[in-house]
Amino acid sequence: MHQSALIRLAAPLASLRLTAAAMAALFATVFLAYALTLADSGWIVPPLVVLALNLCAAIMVNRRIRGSPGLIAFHVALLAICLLAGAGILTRMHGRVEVVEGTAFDPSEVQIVEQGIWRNVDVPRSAFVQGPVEVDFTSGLLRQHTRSSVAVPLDGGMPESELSDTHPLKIAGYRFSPTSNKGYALLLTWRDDAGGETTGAVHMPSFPALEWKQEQGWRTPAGEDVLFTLKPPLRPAGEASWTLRGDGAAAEVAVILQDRPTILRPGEWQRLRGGALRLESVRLWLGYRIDREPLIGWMLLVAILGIAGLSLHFYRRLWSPATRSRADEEGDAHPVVARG
Amino acid sequence: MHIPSWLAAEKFWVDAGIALIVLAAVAALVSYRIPAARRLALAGALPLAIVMLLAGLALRWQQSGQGPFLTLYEVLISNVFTLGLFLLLACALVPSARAAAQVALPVLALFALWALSTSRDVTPLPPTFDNPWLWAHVLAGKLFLGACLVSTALALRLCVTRTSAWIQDVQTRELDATVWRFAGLAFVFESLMLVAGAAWANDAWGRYWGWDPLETWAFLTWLSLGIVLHARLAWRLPQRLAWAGMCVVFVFAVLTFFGVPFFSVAPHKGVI
Repeated sequence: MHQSALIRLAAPLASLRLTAAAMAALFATVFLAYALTLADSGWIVPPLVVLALNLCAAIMVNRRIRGSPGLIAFHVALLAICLLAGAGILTRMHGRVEVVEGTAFDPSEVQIVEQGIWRNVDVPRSAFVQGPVEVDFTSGLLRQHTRSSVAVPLDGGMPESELSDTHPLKIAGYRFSPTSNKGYALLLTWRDDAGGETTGAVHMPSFPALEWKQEQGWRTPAGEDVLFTLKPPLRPAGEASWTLRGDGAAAEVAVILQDRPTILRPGEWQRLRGGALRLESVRLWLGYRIDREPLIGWMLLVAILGIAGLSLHFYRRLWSPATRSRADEEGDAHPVVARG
Repeated sequence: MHIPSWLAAEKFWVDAGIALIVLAAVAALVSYRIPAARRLALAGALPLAIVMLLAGLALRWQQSGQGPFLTLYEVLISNVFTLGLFLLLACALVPSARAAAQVALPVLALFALWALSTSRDVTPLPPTFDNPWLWAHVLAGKLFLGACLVSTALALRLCVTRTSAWIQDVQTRELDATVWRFAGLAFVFESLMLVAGAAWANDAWGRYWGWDPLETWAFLTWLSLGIVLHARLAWRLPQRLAWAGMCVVFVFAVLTFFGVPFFSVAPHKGVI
């Protein structure tokens, strides 16, 4: 009884004309959002909701869909992809972080770009230690391959692996992908007047994207503002290919204090108010994108199954010799109308 | 300016292939009046053109060390090659598809002549292109465009030939069925292209969908084909309207393949 009432309710919603109209509305909203460069994609939600309801109803009552295993697989897959995409928005996380050669990844430095409401970020602490970084460039400063060596704590050991643009590091469901963002970092030790020492890194702007502006401000623990400028190691001029490496020894670092620059070489100290600053070394930092998409594998599987269903349907409906001859006799799904 | 010898050799093979494609197109066009010319187009000029384009593309690939995926010249020439091959196979395997040649070959000739006006320089592939999903994406895209070309060529031919007189016959019914057979095939391959592209985007840029111009246009093309397939059944559209719908889908496909990637500032964010 309940089932037949549900089917009676669903029947008008399952209309194929509604499908075509809602698809046309989706087309119009996507096109308008694109043409008007609207940042808000909320316009596409109403036609998507209508399509989802129409799809649910059609799966329940449409005899053509229910009678074709391929067609039902495709339409159920479409619905599942919509649901998985929605759930994915609630559970995913995207972030970024910069890690300096020779230092361990620190989750407190992760900058969250996007985060679902159903998941706390629990990126593992010291997930890896950053090793040497190399980035190839070809003529015209076109970036080619990035190689990032990392050591990952595993079963008491620290096996090394090499990451690249197409080979990310996967840890605890998170994916760390090297990005095009990289630059030099100054490893500095601050010793206060009481003798206490702290070591940390100041990241210079992205290199070579901002090669012309290699300066970074920093406030000492004693509250004094200093400005670091970096003259990167020379790279081949003109059209030659070259590789960016962390050979920071060839870089020249200047500490600018009240407009007076002082050149600082690795191992040298600079006296400042309330303490002294020592340049340990100049290294490279590499930017990583951190992604967590727990449902993406399921989405891919469902999409492939849906396309397999669609292929089966079209084969049986349009390509199989048996149905082709029957369609020819019946005039296919679309009767030919004779006109005078 | 010094031109490497391999680039000169590539130019020879590709230009010869383009000349043969143009010859095939002319033969296909005159086959309305001289039926034997279709044989010259499909059995002579087109297969030879495909072999020559293959030689040119293989040489470019071998010398530059990268596939023809990036520049407008590479995309046009590789598509003229794959579309020509698809058309040849379709004509060989589905006799009713042979009628598509009269429209499809002139379209291929236009793409080939367009390629002559583009730069042949080699641009290094971005590192994000080094991904197996790219191969699946490109292959599915070429198969989609091939099926869409055959379907649209038949649809356009039916539209044009029916303007003066409406003759109900078995041949028309067969051609109409073939339009929708290839439209169905195009829908399958475009769905595959979108899925493989999403998997590539996820690997390359950490998101499977970002509404960038190319993704948006590819989705609009998929949606337009879905609308035509659904509307044809839902409203039992007059045949000419349904065929015109396929032509509109092809226009969207051409804009997606040859327009948006080369006239948009950032077709795929992260590529550049």
